[in-house]
Amino acid sequence: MAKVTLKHIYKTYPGNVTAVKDFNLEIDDKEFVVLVGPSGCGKSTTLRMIAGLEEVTSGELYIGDRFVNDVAPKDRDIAMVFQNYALYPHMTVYGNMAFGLKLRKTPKPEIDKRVKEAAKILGIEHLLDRKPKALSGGQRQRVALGRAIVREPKVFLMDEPLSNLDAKLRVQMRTEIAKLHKRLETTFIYVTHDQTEAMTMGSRIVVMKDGVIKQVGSPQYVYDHPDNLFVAGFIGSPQMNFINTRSVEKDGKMFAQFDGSSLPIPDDKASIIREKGYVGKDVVMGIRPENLYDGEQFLKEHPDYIIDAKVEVTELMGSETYLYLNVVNTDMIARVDSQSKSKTGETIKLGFDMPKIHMFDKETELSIF
Amino acid sequence: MKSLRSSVKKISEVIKKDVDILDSYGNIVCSSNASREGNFIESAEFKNSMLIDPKYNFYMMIEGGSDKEISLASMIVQDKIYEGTADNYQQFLINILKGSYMPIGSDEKIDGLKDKYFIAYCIKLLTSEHFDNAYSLIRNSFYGDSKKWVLPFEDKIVIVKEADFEFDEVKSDARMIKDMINTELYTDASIGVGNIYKGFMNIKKSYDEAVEAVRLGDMFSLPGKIYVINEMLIERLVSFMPFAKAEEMADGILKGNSEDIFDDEMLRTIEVFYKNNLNISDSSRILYIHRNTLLYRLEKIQKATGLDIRKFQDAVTLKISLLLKSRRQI
Repeated sequence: MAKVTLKHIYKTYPGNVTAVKDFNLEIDDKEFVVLVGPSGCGKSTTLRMIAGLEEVTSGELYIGDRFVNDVAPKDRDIAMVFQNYALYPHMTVYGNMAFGLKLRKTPKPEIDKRVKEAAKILGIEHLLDRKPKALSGGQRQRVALGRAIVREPKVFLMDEPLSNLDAKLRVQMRTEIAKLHKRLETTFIYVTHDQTEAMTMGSRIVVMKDGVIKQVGSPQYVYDHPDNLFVAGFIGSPQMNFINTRSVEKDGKMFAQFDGSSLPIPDDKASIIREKGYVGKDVVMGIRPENLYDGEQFLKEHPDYIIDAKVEVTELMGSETYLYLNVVNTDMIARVDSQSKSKTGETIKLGFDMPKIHMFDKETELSIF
Repeated sequence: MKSLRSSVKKISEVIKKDVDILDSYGNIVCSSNASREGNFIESAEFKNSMLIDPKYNFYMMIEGGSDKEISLASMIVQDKIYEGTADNYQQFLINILKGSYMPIGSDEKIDGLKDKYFIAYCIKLLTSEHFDNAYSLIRNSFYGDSKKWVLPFEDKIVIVKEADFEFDEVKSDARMIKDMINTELYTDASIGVGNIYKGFMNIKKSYDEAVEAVRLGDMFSLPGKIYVINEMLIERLVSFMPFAKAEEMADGILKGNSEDIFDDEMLRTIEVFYKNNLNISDSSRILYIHRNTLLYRLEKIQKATGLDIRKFQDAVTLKISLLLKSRRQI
């Protein structure tokens, strides 16, 4: 068990391509941190630097209190689980889990103890004598995790370990890994491009783009308080809707004005706009799909928060319905009740839950609130 | 291995004892009792064993067997190993990689390889200290796959595969090997993949291409460390050009703008745009930027170089120019 500290980490490849820029993060002992971002954002490179598979170009990397920039990967007390793995087809589950330890010349009784302990943690004790072909997909994945557990590392590093699994198994293994973290009480650093995985597994998420950290925080905090336009759009599915608006003040009231329509901005948010000097300026308004309504009750209670919208497509998801809308020339998605009466082709009244809106600076893309 | 297992079984039936073949780590790779395969025997228990294949360090062990039984059984199995089957192929393939065709044992089996298609991968490890373990790991990963041979050759590990033109499978094999080397051995490797050719005599050609792919990958600092030669034609052509001439040509096209315009963000934009077949919508979605931002970046390139990379010809010109700039002397 150990904390991991990254201080001003840079990774530059030959040809001066910088993959990671000034990465600063302190990961606490026993924490489950998820690095998330679109492909090419530097998350895997960061993980591989922690593993020692990539050299750190500059900056300081610590595992526990030990400075590890120049420590060989095998001496860093880490274990890795990556996307692609093979189980040795002729070996039993026991043999598969023991193989890495045998290569390291670990004494047999020690191997036996660790394999049996790991099997117990993973609930695969009854499978130890089986060969891979007799295992289900989920059982094979557990064996792959077992290989990492037997190393008894201080830190687990996982790079998209579930990407090759089908959707159902991925959901199942997501829970298994989260449970495993609780049972092992060890530091987990997990890389994924899938924001749902990030939101559901991590105690903290690190959102990255172009080699830079865009925001760090608990999943709920990042979802509720995105620091910038990128994080607001990346975290959440369906993603947050954005509308280019101008903040306009009339008779002491603040409005978000766009394409001939306007919506009143609640007083607490209006004072932030005034304080930060955005009155009369172009800003980007963001609203999550679940904060848009087509139900009678909301429309009745909030007659000022309504705009006409054209329904282009409806998708019934079972417990809810997604409405794909055109709202004053902007495409938007609303997540409404499954009993919604809105139909494709109709023009409907769409309610905006204005206390839930976000505003972003159009130039810097940073959050205003 | 099938034939070896049947020999081991026959010996076991005669002497009424389990007969095991072990690798140098003590893994039972073949046994008269299939349930013992994959088990591990500690070196101290190797006493009733005999080296039967000094090249690959395979041992025969008979639990409770007399010296005479072990010697006799070893002789029979050794004959089997050198008579034909997998290990015979292995030596034959190593000879092919060396450029010499020296048939060993039964020519009939080797004749059967003349009409088959083959592809070679070469695995170059970051450091040689992990070579034996990496070789063992890859052999074990493909154990029982009769269409793949894993060979130690010079400072590389070579996989020769009977090919079926499924390049996706070739790439997924390469990704699996790389991830396994990373996670099990805590080291890294570059993997080159050659082209598919008909007939065993062309295995060397495929291998040489795999080695060339790794060299080009290093030269152009390509990402991912898995290099497939048939995706590297432009890199191959550019690599033949003298350095001074290459610089001169690239500077002529980029008009001295390479430092200012082509920063990390722009290079990544271009890479994604090319990967997505010059498609604005797909590229902006993957880059997670608005399509207008992508258009703005493309226009910035056009302003600086005159190249509109939405057009195929200009896209190729810029690709070559950037490769000319990024080539390293290795």
